[in-house]
Amino acid sequence: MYWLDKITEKFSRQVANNTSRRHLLKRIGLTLAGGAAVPLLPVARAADTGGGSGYHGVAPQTSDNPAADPGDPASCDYWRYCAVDGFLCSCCGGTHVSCPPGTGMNPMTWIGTCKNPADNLNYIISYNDCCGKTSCSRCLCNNNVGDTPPYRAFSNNDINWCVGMENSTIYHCTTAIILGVATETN
Amino acid sequence: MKRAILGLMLGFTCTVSLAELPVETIPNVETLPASYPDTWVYAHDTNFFSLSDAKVVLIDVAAENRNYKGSIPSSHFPSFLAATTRPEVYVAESLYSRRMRGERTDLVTNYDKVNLAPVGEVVLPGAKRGMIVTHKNTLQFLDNEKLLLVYNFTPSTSVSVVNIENRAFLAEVGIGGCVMIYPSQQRSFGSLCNDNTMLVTHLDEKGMISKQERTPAFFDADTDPIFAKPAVIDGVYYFPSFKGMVHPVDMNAADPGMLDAWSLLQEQDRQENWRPGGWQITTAHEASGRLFVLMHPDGEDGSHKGGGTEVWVFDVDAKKRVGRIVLKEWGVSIEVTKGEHPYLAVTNGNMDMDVYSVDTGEWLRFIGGRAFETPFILHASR
Repeated sequence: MYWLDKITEKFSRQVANNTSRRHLLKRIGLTLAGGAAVPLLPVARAADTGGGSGYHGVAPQTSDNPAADPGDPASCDYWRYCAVDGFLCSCCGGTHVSCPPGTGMNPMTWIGTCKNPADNLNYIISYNDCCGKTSCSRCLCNNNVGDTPPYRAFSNNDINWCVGMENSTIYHCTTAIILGVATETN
Repeated sequence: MKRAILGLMLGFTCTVSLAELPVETIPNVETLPASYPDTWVYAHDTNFFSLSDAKVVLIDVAAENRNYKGSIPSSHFPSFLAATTRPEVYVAESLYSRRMRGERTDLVTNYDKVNLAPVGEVVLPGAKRGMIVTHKNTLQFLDNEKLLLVYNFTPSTSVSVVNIENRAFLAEVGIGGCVMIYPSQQRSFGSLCNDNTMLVTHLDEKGMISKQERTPAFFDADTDPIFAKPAVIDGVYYFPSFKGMVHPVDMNAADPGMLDAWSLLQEQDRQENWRPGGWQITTAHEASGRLFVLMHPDGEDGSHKGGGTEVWVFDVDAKKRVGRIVLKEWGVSIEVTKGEHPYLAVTNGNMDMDVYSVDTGEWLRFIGGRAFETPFILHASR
């Protein structure tokens, strides 16, 4: 999401004074002209050029099985994040499949379908939110491939999916957990 | 002689600079008029980076300075609505007794427009208030602003009905998995459903369901979903779709009339794949029958919330585009003020506000300085 690129810039400019507005706009323009199939954040492109995870001050990570599950779970362009909306738990004391200490993982959530570039299979991804502490605020990431309006709630990423948590519905961060390989029917 | 003149000038200067200032009053707190000018806009700041500390900031978009008029606190995916029949505004929010934990309280808080201070509240039972990145249609009036409706999501969906004049909770009515609140001009409201229909709920004076039925399907969420964020002109809701159709629904009568859909796009627009996109993607200037839609080229799956480079202006009677406003900065949410010479307020990609003249399309001013963190929804004073 292009404007999220700019929010990211807004909140990281204290540590990244070398990123000028003009530079940012230029990069957005390049994105538009390129018509990328999946919105690529400028931060992600920074990663492509050796700039780390793409978030200033966040070092890159790998999954437990980088060959079969490639990419950086602390980067917004990690393949599982194709329909994520929120702060990446990988940057917040958890991982892409676990919540940070002291939070609670909501089993009820929204799902997306993302293609793994390693095997070209589409996987159903469950974006379980971690709840009970204030916004992590780190590694904000929003991609909307397959996102639907809230009348199709379980594929909508605007809803606070800490809904129904007994102790606290305060949103903290989001994971991206494989539920299975998608078939034609699902 | 020169020295004498210089001495005289210095003496005069000293006399002026040493003039004693009057004693000033403490405490001293500003107040606002009970009725706001048309040029004031409520910027609803969800504050995604600290959701428990959201707020609504009141901005005069016509003013070059002192345009931050005041603010209202709100918490955790709150909803906001301003009355037009009395000097009050309302915040629906959720609070925990130990801030992040403890007992949850959902409530509507009444604020008076003069002091922006709380003057009453209605506690909502059941801890069901729907939490979603801010939408206008999660808090709406009905029955000439006597009833206030609050959207619930658990994920079962329902609506809490409040008599806001008496500040009393009346009832909870189920809406069968459908979402949002689109009031008619009568005592009924619509909600969008996943089978492409609108569920219409009729209430009696006590807020109980008197009738509930579904319209025929009027859009296709599989091929071209409609946004749940319409603009309203003369009681007709205009729902844009992801791919650039508009589905009008006439809500003047108690039962809606589904009007013919029409396209926002001309042939060249289709070739360039222009689409609506952003957060608050539509707004309207009712007096002139103009609909405004935030647009972007090169649309694709997932670009529907990405914002846009232009605001397109449509005459809804002619179903025709009558203007294009090219934005100075990337836009995310748009709102048009009422009045003869309206302003276009835009939440830009930096989460600051740009202001344009609707008459000329000219960019007028920028309102920033971290007045807000993530002002996703803008409400023009009505």
